[in-house]
Amino acid sequence: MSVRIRNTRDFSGTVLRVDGYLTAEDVDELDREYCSVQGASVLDLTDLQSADAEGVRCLQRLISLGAEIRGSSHYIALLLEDER
Amino acid sequence: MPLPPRMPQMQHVVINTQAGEEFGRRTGLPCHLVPNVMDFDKAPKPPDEYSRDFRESIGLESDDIVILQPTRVVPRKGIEHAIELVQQLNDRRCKLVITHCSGDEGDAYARRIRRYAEIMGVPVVFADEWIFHERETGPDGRKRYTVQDAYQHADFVTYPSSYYSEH
Repeated sequence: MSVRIRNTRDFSGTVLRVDGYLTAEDVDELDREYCSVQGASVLDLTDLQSADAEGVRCLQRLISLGAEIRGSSHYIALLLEDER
Repeated sequence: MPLPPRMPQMQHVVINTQAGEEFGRRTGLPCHLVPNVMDFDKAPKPPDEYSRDFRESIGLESDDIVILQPTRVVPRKGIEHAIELVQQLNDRRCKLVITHCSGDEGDAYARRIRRYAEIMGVPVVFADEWIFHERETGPDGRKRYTVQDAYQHADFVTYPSSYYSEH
């Protein structure tokens, strides 16, 4: 396991913090966490260093479901853009 | 024939202990470890006459600080972290020199790395057109160097791999 997923809250509601390196073996957990959240949610990627192809696809899927991305680095932004 | 084959006249070689353990688990056969890395217990020899112009050949200034990334440009090498390191060094003399190309794994990552370096304002030299297995002169008359030559000119070496292996 190379990623840490934390369910936190702030003024905007539930925030899922995804830290580390998101790989294929972590996407089920992220999907589960996201689906367990009631209402709109935010993915905070401030401390996400990178992701493999499956991890990127998972993030894109969650974005298409309405997840708001917060704090992604330039590299993560490029990664999400390139894999589209 | 199943691979790797069980033949008495054949010996097997792996490049790291992790691969050796996996090989043994899958086959039950012995293998020899031949690490595909530099011998870091020995200091590199100083540049000789042949490699003395390496920096100039790849477009560097004599006072540039060479941050060497001696790998192919593939995602598991984590080159984005080397770019972040150079950016944080915040010294215009620091140049990231990458020795190899993408190879057979596609060039999407290399394109992303180029764009990321531009965004971060980090100068990167993709030196694969100057670096080969052996010293030689190319058909265009240009000298070609080896990875060892690049090491001799390096001020700092980065290996921010996302893949862990115990050699």
